[in-house]
Amino acid sequence: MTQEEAKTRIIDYVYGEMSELEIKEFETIMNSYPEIAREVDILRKIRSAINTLPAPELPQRIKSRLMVNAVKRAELHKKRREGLLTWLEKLFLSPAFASAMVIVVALGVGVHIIMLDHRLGDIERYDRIEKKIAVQDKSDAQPEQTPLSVEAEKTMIPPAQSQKLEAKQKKVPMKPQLERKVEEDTAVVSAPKKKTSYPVGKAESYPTLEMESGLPSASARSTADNIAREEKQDAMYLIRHARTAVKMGDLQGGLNLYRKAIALGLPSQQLRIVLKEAIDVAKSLGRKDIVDEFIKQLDNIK
Amino acid sequence: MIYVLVIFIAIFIKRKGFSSVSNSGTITDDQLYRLFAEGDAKAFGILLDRYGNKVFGYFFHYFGDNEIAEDLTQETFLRVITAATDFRGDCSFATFLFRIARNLCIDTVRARASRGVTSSLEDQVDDVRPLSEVIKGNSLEPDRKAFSDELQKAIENALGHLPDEQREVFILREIEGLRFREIADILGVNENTVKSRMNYALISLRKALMGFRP
Repeated sequence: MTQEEAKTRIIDYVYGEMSELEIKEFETIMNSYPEIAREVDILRKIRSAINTLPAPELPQRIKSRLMVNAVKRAELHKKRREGLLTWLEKLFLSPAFASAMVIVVALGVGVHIIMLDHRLGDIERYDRIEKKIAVQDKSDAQPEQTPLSVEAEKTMIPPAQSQKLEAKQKKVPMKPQLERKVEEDTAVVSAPKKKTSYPVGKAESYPTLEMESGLPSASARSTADNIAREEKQDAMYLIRHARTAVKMGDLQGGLNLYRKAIALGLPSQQLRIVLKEAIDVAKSLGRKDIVDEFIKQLDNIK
Repeated sequence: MIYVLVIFIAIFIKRKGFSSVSNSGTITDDQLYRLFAEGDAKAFGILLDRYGNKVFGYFFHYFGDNEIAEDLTQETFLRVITAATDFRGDCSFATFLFRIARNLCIDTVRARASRGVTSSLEDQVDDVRPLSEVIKGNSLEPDRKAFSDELQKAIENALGHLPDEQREVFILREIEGLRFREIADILGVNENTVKSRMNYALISLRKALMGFRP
């Protein structure tokens, strides 16, 4: 503290509005500069003169009048507060409110369990997709199979998949399952009916419509439908999560999920749309490397 | 679990009956005011004991009129009673109280000015009774009492000639004992402005009391 600062702070010193440290600093300066000490002395004298003034006292009648008002107001506050508490007490102890609370808690627990189950289902589905993709990758990497091994596989796998293998053997380009299913359906409708006579006998010995038309049986078709539906659901599931990941800014995570969705091969239209959307997001975030990756994936679909 | 807890708390508070001011010495002004807002009249009694004379002194030194000081003190505390449930604790109770008092001061000064009555002590200091006449049971010896009366009159005279803004700062700091920070809060001005006004007030008082020797 300088001498000038000390002069401006005389009032703080006299009225005791300084910290211990400031007081020490001020007193050191005051001892070196008598004009500051004189100023402090005068102010102290003025203060002691003012302190001789007796403190005026509020008359008792005013105090009593004020207390009467205060008691009235306090009663009012008390009643209002008590009223609220009584109401709360009644509410909480009423059977209707208690039942409502039980229902709300039960609902809450139920929703929680469902959400948990849903989350577990998600994890299971993801694991299944992972496994499926791994199996597909493995089968793509395998060398061309011999007719014998194909025949062996045919006996082990469902009809829809055996058709895939047949197509492979005949070097016919493989069509997506959904397209093939549409063709099959139209074939059933448009197939010319053969005129056949059947011997009278047991019903089981009659050939079915499918057997006659050379189409797969109803059970084989339903299995193929189920697989197609499942694959579509899996792809949609991956797309949904990939989209969320991209929106949340996890571009790499989104990209990985898109790769998996593309590996499943369905449905390409939705994939194109969401990949373009992801490219926009990556561009806006300035992630050129990821943009290139997304474009590559888009090309893969084409 | 929570349900049962709420019921118990409600019953406990209701049976306990909100109050009480068992050890008033340790309870802060803010706590007392909140207790009053919850329905404890005793809490207000303690606040009145703590601040009644201070507020009365503030008005008395400001207007130099016992009657006005009584009316305004009563009005201030009535407003404090009414506003209890609205007090949010943004400032201390003292600041809150003196803000009300100061607003009443300003309103009174304006009302008096519009009626053509003098706005401060300035023009009526000569008619003001010495403070000792206002105070009950003043038992000073005759000589000392005479001197004290003279000194009081000189101080009151000097106070009456101070500009309003310096006088209110002086009263709040010197007579009511509020800190500069609190005064700045009440007046809504900078702390340095308050100190500067106080300095000017002290210089004026110093001049007025120059020839005074006991």
